[in-house]
Amino acid sequence: MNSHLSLEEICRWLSGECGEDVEERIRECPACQTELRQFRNALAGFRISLEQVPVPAVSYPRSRQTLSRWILATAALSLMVAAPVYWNARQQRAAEQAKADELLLERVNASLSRSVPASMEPLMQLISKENQ
Amino acid sequence: MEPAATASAIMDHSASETRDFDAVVDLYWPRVFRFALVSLRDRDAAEALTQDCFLHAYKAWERFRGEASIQTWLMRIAVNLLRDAGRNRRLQFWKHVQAGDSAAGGYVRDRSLSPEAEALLREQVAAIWKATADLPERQKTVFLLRFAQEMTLLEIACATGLSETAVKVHLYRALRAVRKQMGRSE
Repeated sequence: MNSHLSLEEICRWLSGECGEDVEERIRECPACQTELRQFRNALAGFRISLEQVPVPAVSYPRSRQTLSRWILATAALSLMVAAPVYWNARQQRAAEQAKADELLLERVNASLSRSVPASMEPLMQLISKENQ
Repeated sequence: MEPAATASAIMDHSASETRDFDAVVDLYWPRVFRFALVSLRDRDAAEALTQDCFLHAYKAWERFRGEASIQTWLMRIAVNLLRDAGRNRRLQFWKHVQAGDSAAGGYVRDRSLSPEAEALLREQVAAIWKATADLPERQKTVFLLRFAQEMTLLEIACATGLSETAVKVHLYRALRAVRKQMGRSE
């Protein structure tokens, strides 16, 4: 009768490395069979218990996620603040432009309605008085 | 990892490569996370390490030629990160949270076992969890890669950078410690 398996032989068996002689000893020894079965079951139980650990969802590094959120929030806030200011400024500019255009048009009309250039007007007035 | 570097690394890859890598992430994310969790016993640290692992993998994805399996390749990255984390952790030993140990009691009920056998199995699984927490780093890594990830000795050697003989020695020592914790004699 062979002796029971040593720990080294058990390790080799668990790693699938033992030879036919060890396999034969296991077949002939119910105690070794029980020992190996229990140990193998415990190791399998350990693996299964590990597989039951809940796994967090795939995610990018937190620092990056946080940074992205900050960038998005800041951009949204800036847009909310800047949009009305920009819109008001634009309308004001447009109104000023329209006023300037109107003024220019008035000047052009005034200039066109004159019979002589503005610089000649005093002279023309003098001539007109002399003729009277 | 800097956010800018992350974004740059991601943009360096074509869409098809990204799709392939997405499949790798879906398949291996849980395995890497659980390996990290049982190694570190800290959920936050395990999650951070898993993220780092896949970030490193993504950056090196183009160079991966399949000499080793994807699992072996990812585990090699994870083992290296764990080694670095181990160096940092020695300075903050007080932050040794036993977060992963709660899983020891969560072993699924096996209806084929008698209540006594199931109770014994639960005890043994809990003992293995406890034993792995106390194992030296290399023994723990080798043990987990063999019995949690079901990798071959050759794959473990490739993932850890150890010789196959060294892997056997570490595994033997780990099993001896685990059996001792389980109350078994040599």
